Amino acid sequence: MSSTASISPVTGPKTAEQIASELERFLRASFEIPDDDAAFTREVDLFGEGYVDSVGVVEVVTFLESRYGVTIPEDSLFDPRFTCIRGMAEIVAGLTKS
Amino acid sequence: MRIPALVLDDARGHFGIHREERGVHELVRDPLGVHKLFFAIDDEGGVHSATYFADLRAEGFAPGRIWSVPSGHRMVIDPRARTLLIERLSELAMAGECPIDEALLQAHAARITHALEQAFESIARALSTEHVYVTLSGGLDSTGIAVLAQAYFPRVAAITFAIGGEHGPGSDLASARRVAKDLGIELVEVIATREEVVELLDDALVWGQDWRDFNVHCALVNAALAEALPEGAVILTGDGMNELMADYSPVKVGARTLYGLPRLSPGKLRRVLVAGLDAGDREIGVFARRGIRALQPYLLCADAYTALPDEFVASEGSKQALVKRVLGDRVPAFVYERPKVRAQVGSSGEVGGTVRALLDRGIDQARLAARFRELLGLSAEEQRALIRAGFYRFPTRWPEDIAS
Repeated sequence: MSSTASISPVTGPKTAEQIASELERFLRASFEIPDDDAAFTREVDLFGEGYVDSVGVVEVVTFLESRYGVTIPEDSLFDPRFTCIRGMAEIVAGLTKS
Repeated sequence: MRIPALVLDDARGHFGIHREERGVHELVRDPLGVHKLFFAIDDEGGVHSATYFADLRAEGFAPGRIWSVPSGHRMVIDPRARTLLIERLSELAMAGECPIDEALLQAHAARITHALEQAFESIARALSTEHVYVTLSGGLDSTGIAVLAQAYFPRVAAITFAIGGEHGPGSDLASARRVAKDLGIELVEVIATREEVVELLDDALVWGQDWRDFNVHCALVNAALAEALPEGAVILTGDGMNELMADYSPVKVGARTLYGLPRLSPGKLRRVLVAGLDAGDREIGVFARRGIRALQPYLLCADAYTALPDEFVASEGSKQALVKRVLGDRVPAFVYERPKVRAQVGSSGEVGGTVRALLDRGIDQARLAARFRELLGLSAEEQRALIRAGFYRFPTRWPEDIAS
């Protein structure tokens, strides 16, 4: 098994836009999504379109928790927003403020 | 807010319980989610629960109206007040990173030994049978259960699975035979053809409540074993140890790599694997459908295992080192030396077992997912929403679309 590189945590609240930008970069690098993939947007259903599978979602959650110092509640996994970059970023932004 | 308990404040073990009192429903599930518990609310506010998702589908509930109670949680549903409250009842404490020396390892081993003894005493007391079966692959986990079972039950028989023709020296069957002989227990050999295995696929998917390949491949082994056991039998299994010790690795089959793992630190991976027991019913569900009671003693002692430090669990040979201190030479020496073999792979040599039985017929992950949707009447979107990151979907508030 390969391990992820350690993720540097950031402190303080982040805007959803900032989180979305970083999450997009993480997904492109971790899941080898080419820059010219026009279908890969911040609104695309990551699971529905096959960018992230059941294993990958665990890595996404770990990235978000490690980077932003939050704990993503299990029920957030089933939040309808937790299917795309923009929605995930909104959820995490909300958690950094609480 | 603490939700007033109707019936359960001190439940231990593995369970999924639904109780109703004066129209208020309490649903509770064990800390690891070993037992599954799904529910749906009808248009009149009736709360229906089932161990199997398929049973609620058969009652006519749409997939989007069926939820799970998450592991270690209590849900209280009051249809008249239109409220659904949820609270975590219990959570496994996981050790963090700390160095371990021989004295500490001995202390952990003593705690695990005590926990296993208590678990077996409780099982022996609770069961009205003197005769139990043990699933035996000839590996360390199942041999440990067989050894312990002999100490607590007058009659122990082992049962093992193999695909016909896969009997070589590195096979599970060869090892199981050797272990059974060494321990002096009867061995029931369930030898199936690959065609017979494929015929069990629908059972494995529906009653295993999962379409992810690892769990389906395991569920197929158990479905074959279940067919050979008498109804009412009690079976003890070594399942769960791999999650508790993060003892998983991908399997190469030709150019394919199966069972990919999240790229996480070993400590984080262990947490994910244990939490992921919430979804999938490859053992209890598959056996129970055939009227067989399966018990997983290692998971009854989960907190003793999760107290082990991450570094130790991640270190090479940690499981052997631990078992040596817990069971010592009660486990035959050759079992400690045997390379890890997954029961669904069947051999330390070439990949066989239920994995090969399916892949040779083109039944890969995509086909498993498609067949699961077909059998349970799910759309692809509904399927994706059913299991995420190892959890079955669950609500945290009253579902607004209920018409009552």
